[in-house]
Amino acid sequence: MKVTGLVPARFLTMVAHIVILIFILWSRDSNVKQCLPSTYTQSQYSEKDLQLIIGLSVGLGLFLFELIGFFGGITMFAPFQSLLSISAHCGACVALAYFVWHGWPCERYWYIFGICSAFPALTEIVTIIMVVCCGRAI
Amino acid sequence: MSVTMAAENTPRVNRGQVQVIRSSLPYQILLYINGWYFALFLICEILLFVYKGETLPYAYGVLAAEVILVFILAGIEVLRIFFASKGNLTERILGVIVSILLSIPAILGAIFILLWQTYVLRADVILAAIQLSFLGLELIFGIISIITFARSSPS
Repeated sequence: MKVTGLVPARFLTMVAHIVILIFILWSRDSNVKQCLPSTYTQSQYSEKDLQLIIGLSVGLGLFLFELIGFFGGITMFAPFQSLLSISAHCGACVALAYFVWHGWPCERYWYIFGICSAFPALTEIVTIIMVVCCGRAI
Repeated sequence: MSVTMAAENTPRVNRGQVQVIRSSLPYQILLYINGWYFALFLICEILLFVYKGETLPYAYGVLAAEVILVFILAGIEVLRIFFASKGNLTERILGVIVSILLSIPAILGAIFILLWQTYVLRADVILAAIQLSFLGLELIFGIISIITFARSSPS
């Protein structure tokens, strides 16, 4: 096992990302208000709120693929995927911490979602397919 | 361990038979990951206690008692993971039973952080819930491996 340290590091960054996503799902009020005009109606608020809930839930759902790949041992020892996942989730943690503290407008979540949730999940699926079909990962 | 035991117990005719490994790999993965997760949990809890001590009013001695309780929980957790992993790897029932008994105070400690401490923050709830789910999964896998080891034992 040459890649000692990658396995716990990957798991811990993923857990940190999951924790902060659940945290935002719990207290998203100020972020929703940031992306509304100064006077807004209840329907506008609930529309933006629903969008953010869907984004966060899809972000949590994409973790299912990564956790299956990780705990199933399919990509646990794939060094490239591990490093990619560590860096993406680490970046997501820092960005989402700013998202919470500075009350970023909720549109900016989608950039974080695209780069730090969807991208590693996509490469995870590609790696799983490669391992299942070709027998080895890059 | 199991290889040497098998070599002692089985007659020479059976040499070359396939050795059945009864240690559970998912249980071992869970224990390894839970050890790392608990380290993260402990650091986060200490930082959260620092935050709570700085910003929230506490009755005299309560904060110290809660911090000491978290450290006792850390000691229990280290022993629990050690016994579970040794018991699983050596295929002994005793180690797994000790770890299951130790998981009772570990579960109570996690529930304390989740519900009974003076100020429960949202981060506390999320971290303790993940720890509780680890504990529950390890309880299930521990019972399964006890059954597996008990079935295979010669007596």
